[in-house]
Amino acid sequence: MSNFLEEIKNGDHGTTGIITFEDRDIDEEGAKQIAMALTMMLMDPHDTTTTTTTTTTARKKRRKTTTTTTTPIEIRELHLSANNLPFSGVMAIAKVLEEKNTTLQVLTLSRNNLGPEGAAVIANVLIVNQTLQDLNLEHDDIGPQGAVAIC
Amino acid sequence: MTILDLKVLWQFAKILVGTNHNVTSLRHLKLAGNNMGPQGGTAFANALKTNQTLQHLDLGYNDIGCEGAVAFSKVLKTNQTSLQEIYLQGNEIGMKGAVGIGMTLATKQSLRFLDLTMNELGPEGTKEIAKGLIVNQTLQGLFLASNDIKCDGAVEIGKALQTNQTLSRLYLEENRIGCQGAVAFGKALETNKTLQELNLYENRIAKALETNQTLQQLDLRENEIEEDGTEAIMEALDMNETLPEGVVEYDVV
Repeated sequence: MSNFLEEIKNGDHGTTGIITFEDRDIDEEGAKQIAMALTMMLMDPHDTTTTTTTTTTARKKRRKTTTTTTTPIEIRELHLSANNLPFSGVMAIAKVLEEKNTTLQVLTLSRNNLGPEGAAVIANVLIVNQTLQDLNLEHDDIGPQGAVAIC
Repeated sequence: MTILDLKVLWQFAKILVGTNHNVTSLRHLKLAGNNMGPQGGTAFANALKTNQTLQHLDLGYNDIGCEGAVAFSKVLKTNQTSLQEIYLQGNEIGMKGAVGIGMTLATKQSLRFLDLTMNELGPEGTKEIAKGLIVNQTLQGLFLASNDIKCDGAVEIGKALQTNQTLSRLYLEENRIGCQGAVAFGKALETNKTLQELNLYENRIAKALETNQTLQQLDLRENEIEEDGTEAIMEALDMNETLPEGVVEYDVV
């Protein structure tokens, strides 16, 4: 089973600020992990400075190593096209965007069969979230299937 | 459509474009392929009335129809919105829907891109769009591919291009504009100074030669027509019965 949180931590997302998972069949647990990632500052693996401090005591040398990042990267884009996201997964992501994350600017949830309910959940995010600028819900069955009006 | 669906849709449109609260951060909204229907299109159009942030709206392939197009035309014509790009491809807007859009183009001076690809506009609908294009001073990109524009529609667009000063990209693929339509564009390009991209892919320009009964001479030299273009012309000439042999001149790049 995929561990999305680990993938995000270990991937280059910390450099780009862009998280992309397409066609991965993300389940509720996966969506929760991704949602959790949205609450974190990602560390840029290429931009770490290692400081080594050496303290000398009377009997032994103690070496202490700390790793700090100088520029934690904010997540600006999340692309989750064609993942068959369950409603609960959509809820998890929406909750974080409503309550915690204020850095995401671009959200792509196209081809996930969100339906009207899922779309409404995402719509509600926009009431409180003031950073999201670009929303893509293409091919998500938002509207009803049915008769086509011809004029 | 169930009542529940319609309610959700309306709420969705209202929230998304910020009528429920004063400020929304959303600039780009892509909702293509969601079968929203005319009601959905109208909901979004009405929601735009008070929105001041959305710049790019994509409602392609949503079957918004003539009704949805008319709703957009009305709202955009009478309200100050921030919308710069609107994508309405594949929505069965038709000739009647085009009337409103043409009028919007004539009065609304902020739209920069308009996509009406695959909307059954026909020559008459295209004429309405062309009317708007004559006076419009903001549109930079116009997508009219696959609208069965034919020769008559192309002539109107060609005329509009003679006065229009802003359009830089025009897409007219698969429109059967034929030989006369191409001639109209040739004429327009003599005076037009802004067009940078003109796409006339698959328009039966050579095909028109097959059945043309009047043309006596055709000089296509120095046109940088590539090999497949020349082949199409040669094939067409084989079918043509009136154009005397040997009077068509062309060269291959």
